[in-house]
Amino acid sequence: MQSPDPAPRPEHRGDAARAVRREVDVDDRGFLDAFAEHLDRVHNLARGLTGSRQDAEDLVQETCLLALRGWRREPPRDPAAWFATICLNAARSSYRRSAARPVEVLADEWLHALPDDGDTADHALASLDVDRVHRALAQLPAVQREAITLMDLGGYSASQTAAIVGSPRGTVLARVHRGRKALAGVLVATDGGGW
Amino acid sequence: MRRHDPERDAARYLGGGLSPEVAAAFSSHLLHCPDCAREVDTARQGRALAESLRGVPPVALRERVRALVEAESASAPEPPVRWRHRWSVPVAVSVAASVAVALVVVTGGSGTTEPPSLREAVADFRAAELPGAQLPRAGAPDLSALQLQPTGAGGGTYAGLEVDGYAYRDPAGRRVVVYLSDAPFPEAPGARRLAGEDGPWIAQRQDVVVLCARVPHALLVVGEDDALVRETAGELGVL
Repeated sequence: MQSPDPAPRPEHRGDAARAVRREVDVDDRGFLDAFAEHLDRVHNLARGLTGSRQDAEDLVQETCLLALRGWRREPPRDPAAWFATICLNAARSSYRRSAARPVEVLADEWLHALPDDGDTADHALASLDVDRVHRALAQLPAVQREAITLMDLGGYSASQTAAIVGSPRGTVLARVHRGRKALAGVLVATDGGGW
Repeated sequence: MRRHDPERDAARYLGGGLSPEVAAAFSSHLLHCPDCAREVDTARQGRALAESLRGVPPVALRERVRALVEAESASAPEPPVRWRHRWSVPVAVSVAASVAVALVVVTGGSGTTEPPSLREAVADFRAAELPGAQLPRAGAPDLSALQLQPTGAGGGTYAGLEVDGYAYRDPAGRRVVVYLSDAPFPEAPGARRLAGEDGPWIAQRQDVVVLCARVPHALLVVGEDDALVRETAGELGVL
């Protein structure tokens, strides 16, 4: 067995890092600044579109690479919507490749189990379990999950979301409304001790 | 509004696109229409739950994104040059004293102790983690010939061995991670040699394949698919 050489490298890693930084192209620096500005939003989209934190981080990095290549061809006029479109398309490609699209059977069950009038938003948040909500989101039909992710996690308006997913605004509103009702149905299952 | 449809009307109301007059009229309507009120209340609960999932990306992800862009930027000026050519000088110099190539299979057989650095590399691969969040010292190896797209890069240490890790996926979603170091990775007991007495070796650790070489580059290739791991090693010029 050979042991790794414990001797320090002749070149300090920090020096190497700085050397790499010096080589960053000016246009790429502009991209990096823009992507960093929207990273929170892209990350939230990725969390809503994937099933785990690691998959989300992979998707963010894939989005970053794809966007960088597009940016070099021509920087977009609306980076926020553009990053979202790339992230969404990459997620769609990913779950087509992995055939891991979540099952959709539970959504209708939730729609038939809406909370009683006595339930309130405060009650919903008081019993919040983030992992449970994530699982519920993951099991929505893809079009509802995408609409909710863009509007409620990403903060995009209905009109922006309609442009990103390529559907009429009214269709997007219907999808997000049904998806929100399905999410609220999670609370019913929680209160009943199931799920 | 048109025909009374609680779901449609509530969706439009919450969507925020109604004129102030129509929105005010619907707000009044909610006071004496239980169906519409229930639609609005339920959707608001769902929206609150969805918004509760918003979070801040980990600092390590922010660093990995930065490293990714900087690595891409550093490698962009020479697109036609293959990885093995770009890396041949610095890496070959750093391992000039090592002439032998070793390729071993880590079998994980009973009674053997796997070197900590290999154990950490395999564990990180299974957890889809990289060695650390430091900048890699150079751009990601070009594995586009195998349709492998980089998905992340980061540097750190495995049992005191400084390592840069580069993660890839192919169109089928199969993952491969290439680990590079200036110092040779330790040889695992029970490994299966693929070529030469000190040649490269390959190892199977349950669902993970590890291929290790010392020249022309000190590297590990780790993946779930044996053929893809070997093809990757071949593309990197160690087979």
